[in-house]
Amino acid sequence: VSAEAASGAAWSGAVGERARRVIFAVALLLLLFDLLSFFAGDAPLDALVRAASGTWGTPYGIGQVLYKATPLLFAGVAFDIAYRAGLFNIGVEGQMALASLTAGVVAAALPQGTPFALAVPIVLLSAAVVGGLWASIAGALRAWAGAHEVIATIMLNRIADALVPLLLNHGLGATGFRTRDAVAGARLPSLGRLAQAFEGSAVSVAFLLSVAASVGAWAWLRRSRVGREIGWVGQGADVCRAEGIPVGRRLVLAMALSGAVAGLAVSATVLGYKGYHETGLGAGAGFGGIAVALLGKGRPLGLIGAALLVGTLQQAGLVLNATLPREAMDVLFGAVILAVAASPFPEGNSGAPGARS
Amino acid sequence: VSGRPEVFAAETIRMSVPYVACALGAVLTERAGVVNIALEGTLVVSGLAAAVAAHASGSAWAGLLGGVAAAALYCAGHGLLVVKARVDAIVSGIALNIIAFGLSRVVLRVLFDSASNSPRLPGFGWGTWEHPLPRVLADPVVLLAIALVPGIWALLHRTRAGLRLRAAGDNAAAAAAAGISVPSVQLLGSTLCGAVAGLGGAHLVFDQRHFDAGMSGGRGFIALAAVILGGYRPLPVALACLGFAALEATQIAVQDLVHVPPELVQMLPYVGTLVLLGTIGRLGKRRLGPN
Repeated sequence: VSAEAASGAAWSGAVGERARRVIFAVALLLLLFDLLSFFAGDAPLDALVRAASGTWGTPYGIGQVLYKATPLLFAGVAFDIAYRAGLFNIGVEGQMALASLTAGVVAAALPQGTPFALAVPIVLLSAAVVGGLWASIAGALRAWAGAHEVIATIMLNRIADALVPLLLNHGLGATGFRTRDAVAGARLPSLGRLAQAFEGSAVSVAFLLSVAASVGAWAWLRRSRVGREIGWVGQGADVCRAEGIPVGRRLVLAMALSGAVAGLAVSATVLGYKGYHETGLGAGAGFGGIAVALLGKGRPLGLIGAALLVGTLQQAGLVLNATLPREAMDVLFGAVILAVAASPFPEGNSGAPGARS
Repeated sequence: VSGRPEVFAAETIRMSVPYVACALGAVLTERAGVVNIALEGTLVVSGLAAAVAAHASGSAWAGLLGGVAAAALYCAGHGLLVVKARVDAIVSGIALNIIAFGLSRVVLRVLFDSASNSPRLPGFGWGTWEHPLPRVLADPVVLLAIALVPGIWALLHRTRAGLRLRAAGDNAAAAAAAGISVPSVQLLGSTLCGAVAGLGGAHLVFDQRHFDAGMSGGRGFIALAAVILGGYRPLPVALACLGFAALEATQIAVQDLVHVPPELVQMLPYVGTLVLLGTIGRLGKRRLGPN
């Protein structure tokens, strides 16, 4: 009985801790929101009402939030996969940019009349492969040269920043800013086709794909042999090495999968919305995804909820842009990352060694 | 004109200032054991604060002071989050970068009613010079940045505070056992990093005589690359910064003569750093995490 009571107390303690953290984060969000909108000369309560009605107040608003949340969820799942292996994939942003360019080029290069069932998998696969290969450079440098993946992925992001416009300008673009139009078969249907209410908003069935990806990645990491090994490597590489797990290969695989999932974000942007890649399409989702992963703590529901929260903030930023610059929402979500990270969080492999001991 | 060597030298020195300031700041905090990837945000914060202070007071000196102070506060915040609140240094750096960019847009809109830039600002105006070298050097921010190279070296290797800083970063447990307050030393390192890197943002602002939302242009990340290439030692790090600045100056000098896509040149520092990480990768790991 006492053991049961103890575990019950521990359980309610854990729930209480999590609830306190959520309440704290929401209170901080509201406080900062009020301060910023007041600072910008807006009436805080009025701004809040406008933000709420422009996001979750209409089917169109909800559709826009879901559209924003889709690449964020892919990015969050991507960051999380690498994080399980103890790796910080700061490079999601660059992996997404290269994958987006790839998707735009491939989707336009397919012969007219390629059937949907062939075109969409081909485009998604090529985007995932490019994202995965780009990420695995950092994985390989980490696994076999001992280079820290944070530095490597920052460098890879900066290279992608220059590489994408370079390629667009030299042969891959219709203009210097965008690729040619995708063939009809490579377009994902808008969610408005399934549910009339979303008509006109940018959300597509890619949102359902991103939800499936979050559940799929979670299940794979938990249920498959290799997925579990990736998690063990994140817990302690030396023990794994002693047990005969190929640590280097698992690290590279985790990075490659992370980049591949990041690449799938093109389903929302290129395939589900624009029908081509253009400069800046989906930019920022890679960094937003880090916030999603840190808030979501590796559980599908957590990740989906976090992606919706960040997506809501981004859409609210657009709604309020006339009085409050939309970048103000970045301040909010930066602050939420810090508020969440300041509470006990499973330790990664990076950080200040001195501060930890 | 752009082919003359003294013009090239002067341009290289001018362009190296933000790199040198950020990279030397990073050397201080990294040697103390606190990783800081928010250098880009530090440039934004210091540039904006310098612009606001200079605009409000009409004095470039007040602007310089404001920029340095704001950057020191910003990086002290990073230090507090990492050392006291136990936030992962990478997570804190990412969040602080995001906050700096967002906040700069809000401040620009509120104070200057602009989406992207400040009005024209006062400068230091230390005379008008015919020769390009004194024209660049007759600037307190540039002179300070040059003085910082031996200054930071001396601080690290010739003072008690520097010894404590390095001890905290090299082996925190041993440093603590020797009676050093590791958290305070690391906070000091973080704050100094901000003050030094803040010169970089101030230089960008007073060089262009206005603040622009995108003016940091990835320089904080290039500085990070320079820190790794230079092996966390002030002089080699400063030389790496000069090298990157020379690359930038070369690109500008030759762009009218031969057409090299600017993006190609833009990539070079990062590609170079990756190659170096691949060959002597341990460098990138040394200061970034224990395992």
